[in-house]
Amino acid sequence: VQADWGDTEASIRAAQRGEIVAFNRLVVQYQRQVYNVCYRTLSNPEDAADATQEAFLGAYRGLSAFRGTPEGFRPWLLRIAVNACYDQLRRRKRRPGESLEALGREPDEESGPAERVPDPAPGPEQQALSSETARGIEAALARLSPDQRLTVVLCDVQGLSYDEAAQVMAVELGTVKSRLSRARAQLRDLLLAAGELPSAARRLEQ
Amino acid sequence: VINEHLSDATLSALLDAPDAPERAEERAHLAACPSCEQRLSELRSVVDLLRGLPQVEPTRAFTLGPRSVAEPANVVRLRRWYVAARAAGASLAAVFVLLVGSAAYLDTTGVPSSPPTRALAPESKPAAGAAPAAASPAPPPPSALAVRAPQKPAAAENPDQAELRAATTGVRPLPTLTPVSLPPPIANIVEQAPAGDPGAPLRVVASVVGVLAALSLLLTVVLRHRLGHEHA
Repeated sequence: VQADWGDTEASIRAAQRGEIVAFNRLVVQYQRQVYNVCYRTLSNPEDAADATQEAFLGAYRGLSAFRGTPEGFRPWLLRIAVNACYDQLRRRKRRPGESLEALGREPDEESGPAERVPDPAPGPEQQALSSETARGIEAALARLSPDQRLTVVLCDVQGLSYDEAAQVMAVELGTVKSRLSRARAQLRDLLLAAGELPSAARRLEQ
Repeated sequence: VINEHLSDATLSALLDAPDAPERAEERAHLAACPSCEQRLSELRSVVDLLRGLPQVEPTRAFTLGPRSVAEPANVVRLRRWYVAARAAGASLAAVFVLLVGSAAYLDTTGVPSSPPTRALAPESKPAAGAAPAAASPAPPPPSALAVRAPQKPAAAENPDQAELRAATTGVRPLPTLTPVSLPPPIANIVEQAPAGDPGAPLRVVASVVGVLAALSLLLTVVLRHRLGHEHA
């Protein structure tokens, strides 16, 4: 990824001049990650797709205001996506009966897109979990507060650095660390209570 | 070696930077404390599980087409009206402030159109021209003269006496706008005004402009609200 910062920068500059083809190169480059952050934040494929589309439209319209390095583009883009997600959450609050908790407690319901398929090329640390375990974690994630959920999604699921996560959430580095530690501790408690942790840990060790 | 058990925050930090030099004491505690070691391994399992969550494939592509980027025609029209209403509101409000200020200024100074005392004062004859009128102290407002009239004939008062009176009473007559120094259109309006209320026509114009400014600003707020609605 580090090798193509030059390409990324060229695409950003061209898109800032209004070249939509160049902007769409950025969309292709980042849409999977943006969609995944939105999906893990919202736990709903349709809302995640809406938020992702909204984020890219907003990014296109606001691109002239982006003054950072190409490394700063991903946090800048994810910040727009996170705001779009919070807008969705606020809208959802006005429509009762579709709460995150409800989604979290009924994981058997066919809720996902064509996802549960594991990454075609998983990284060394990215081991495919059984879909049962994955659902257990998703249910636990859904019970965290939105801020805590976003922090673990950015840092642990998406692998952003503390620094990038701080930019995405527009908070101090210390806030990222404390939110992350509290979210991990709460997930541990939830997963222990659900009986997921010891068994899952053993499964990973084998 | 630390004797207390490590907090979740410390364990979480150790997970992300296990070799940090400033964590040596915590590592020593971990080596001697099975309970903390157990909690650390539980947290590590949580993080491993999170890292193992599959990446989800997007249900569709999010590339933008020319149509999705362009604003719809009604939004463009709305934005144009909004910009116009905002500009009109701002300039009308500025004119309103200017008019109210001018009216207030005229009210305090007063422009006596035909006070008898003034006609007797040689230096305030229109024929005297702008330069002497501006140089000499202006006559006090007509009301002040009317009060003083029984005691002393106003015609007798010369500039020196006016200065003296200003010095003793602390009330210095404000400089007067003479008809000579006003542009013709405004001078005409002012001459038509009743002697006691020179600011009246300005106030009429100001209230009309003020109402228009308020309407424009109201329209601006409404259009802005509609624009925000379209974007949502």
